[in-house]
Amino acid sequence: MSDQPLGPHSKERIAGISEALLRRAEVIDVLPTPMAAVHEAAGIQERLDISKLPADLEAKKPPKWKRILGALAFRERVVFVDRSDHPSRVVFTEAHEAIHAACPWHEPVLRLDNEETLDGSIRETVEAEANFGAANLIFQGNRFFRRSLMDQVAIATPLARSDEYGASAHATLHYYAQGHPDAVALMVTGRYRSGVDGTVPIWKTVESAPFELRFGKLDSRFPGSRLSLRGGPIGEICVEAAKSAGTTSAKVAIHDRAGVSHKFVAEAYFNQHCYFVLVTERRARTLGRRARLEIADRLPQT
Amino acid sequence: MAKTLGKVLQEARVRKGLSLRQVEAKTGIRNAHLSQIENDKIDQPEMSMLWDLAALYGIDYDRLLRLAGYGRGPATSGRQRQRMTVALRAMEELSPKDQQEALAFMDQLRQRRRDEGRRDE
Repeated sequence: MSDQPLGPHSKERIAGISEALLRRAEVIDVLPTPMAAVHEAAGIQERLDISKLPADLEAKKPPKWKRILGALAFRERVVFVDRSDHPSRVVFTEAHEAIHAACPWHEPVLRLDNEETLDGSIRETVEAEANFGAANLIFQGNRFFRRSLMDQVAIATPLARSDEYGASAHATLHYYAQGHPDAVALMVTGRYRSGVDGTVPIWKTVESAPFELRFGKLDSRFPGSRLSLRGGPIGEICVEAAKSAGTTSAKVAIHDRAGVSHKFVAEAYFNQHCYFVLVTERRARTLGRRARLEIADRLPQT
Repeated sequence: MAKTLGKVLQEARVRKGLSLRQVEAKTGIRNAHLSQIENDKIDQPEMSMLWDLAALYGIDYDRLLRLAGYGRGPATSGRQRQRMTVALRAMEELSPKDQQEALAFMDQLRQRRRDEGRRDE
């Protein structure tokens, strides 16, 4: 997932575009968001499944065909999606292509890329914008928080809601942390330890605006952007989460930008591919219902 | 001497008879921010911002992208514009050759579906 930071104007525009699509499609509060209706609202004329090929074309498919998740042909208004993929990834790809279709500057920027080689970061920005808008479509903007904030500020809350939105645990946790009104941050790490020091790579951190304002970036506390699984409360709860198939927690202290220590709870979840750690301020956790996480529902996503 | 992005935008705004505050009201772009762009204090505004300004002023977006440094070279003859413009999402970065092969194949797939649709009519 491209996590190129977006400027404030782009975020506002894309959030507005997503909202307009939801309204035009008449799918406000319809969950999971029906992407066929959103595509129609975005002017998509045709949706093709690239996993189902006629026999003669199957024999001619390019070597990297299986690496493609989806595409949008702008002028032709055709979306190509691999429907054999995991359902939550199909949903995300469909939402992603809908945003490309609806953002009027995406086609001219990518057309410029056809004509001249663009700086890779520009293409990454376009992709990050589509990802941002896709999440807004799937989670329907702030409505996700109106529902989630009735529940405790905890990792179980987004995990319990992901199926309702047709989204992956990863996407739901990301959206939850990114837009939460309290100081909340998410860390996502790889699962394979370095043989030398037993650390895992921190792929990304996602901070809510209040967290970043008061505490900065979460990964600034981890040298080399690596997390040790051999010691420390966060490493320990990750190891335990991998064994338990549920979530685990520990109390941690996080210093703010002024160096003042604050009490947080760190919770870990392992989905067989990566570790997720959500840190929430202890004082924010006292309110709200505790979301029940049905362990049987949290089968590994392939 | 070639005009800067800021100069092009300022001249376009003035031609339209718009104040900075009026542009803010219409686009949401803060007037202070736009002033900085026009004075070349910000040389690469967001692509979405350039789009909104191009649309409001009625000026060429491609030109603004190039002036902002988003394109690397001069405009081509336009012959490449006939290629399908596609946003491709893949599990990994694909080489230009892989991308071209994928796009050509998608075009074939689309044509096949279209032909099948015509046969069904």
